[in-house]
Amino acid sequence: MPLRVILGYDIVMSFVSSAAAFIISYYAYRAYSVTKKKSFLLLQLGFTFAGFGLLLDSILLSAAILSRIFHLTTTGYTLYFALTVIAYVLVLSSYAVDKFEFSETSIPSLLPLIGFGALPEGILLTLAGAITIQLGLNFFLNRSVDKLLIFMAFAFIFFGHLFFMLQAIRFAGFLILGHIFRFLGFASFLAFILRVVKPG
Amino acid sequence: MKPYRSRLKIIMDILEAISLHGGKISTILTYANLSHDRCVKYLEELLEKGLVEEGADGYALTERGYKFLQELKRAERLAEAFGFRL
Repeated sequence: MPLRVILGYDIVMSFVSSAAAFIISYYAYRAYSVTKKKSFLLLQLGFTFAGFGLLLDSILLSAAILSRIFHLTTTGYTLYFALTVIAYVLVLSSYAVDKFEFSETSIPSLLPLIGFGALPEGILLTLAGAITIQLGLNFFLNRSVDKLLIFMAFAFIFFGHLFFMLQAIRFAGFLILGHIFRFLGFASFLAFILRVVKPG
Repeated sequence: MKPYRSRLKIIMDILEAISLHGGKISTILTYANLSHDRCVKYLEELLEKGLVEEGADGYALTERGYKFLQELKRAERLAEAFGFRL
């Protein structure tokens, strides 16, 4: 497959997933504004960070292609990695709301650059796995379609990171699967939101 | 043991009782499972905030109250889906 097609696919999938993350963030914010519950605020922040991570990755990858400044892809992935870690930690901490304090993110130049690779994807995989287990317990204790959709969303995202990690180790073809699974995760979030906002 | 019911959940139950079963105080008491005194306190607060209004047939939801109830229901579903309590 030509590199341009792969990169274009990468950009589009990240962009669409970021839009889904922002929609979830918006509904979590609405829930926070009506209930003032900190867990919703942390959820909202988590999805905002996840959305910005994906969006910046997509934008910087596009910029790298257009400007031919290819180290922008590394900067993009570094930001994606850092923001996604923060996002997952925020989502996890929403289960222990009273304990959590977070600091402002450092400006990118102060962060050590992290290239796409098995280790950062492994870290994201671990965090996504912890959230998936939490949501799996939530679903299996008292089943409902809503709970299943949220559980499936993080399970898909978990497998997305797994495939990205495998791709980084050796198997290049897993890039496509990684993107499909991550997208399916955000699509599950969207399906849940559509059920919630549906009138009646 | 009865599960703990938060203040928000009680308010939601009262608004839902009015929305679904009408605003007679006896109906609200039954549906929201509250003592008379507590129920009246909550209703006074809801009246003050413009979420309910008092009419000839008892209490009714205002436009604002109806929207607030819809938002609360969405928040409850989001909370349940993520395993939080409202």
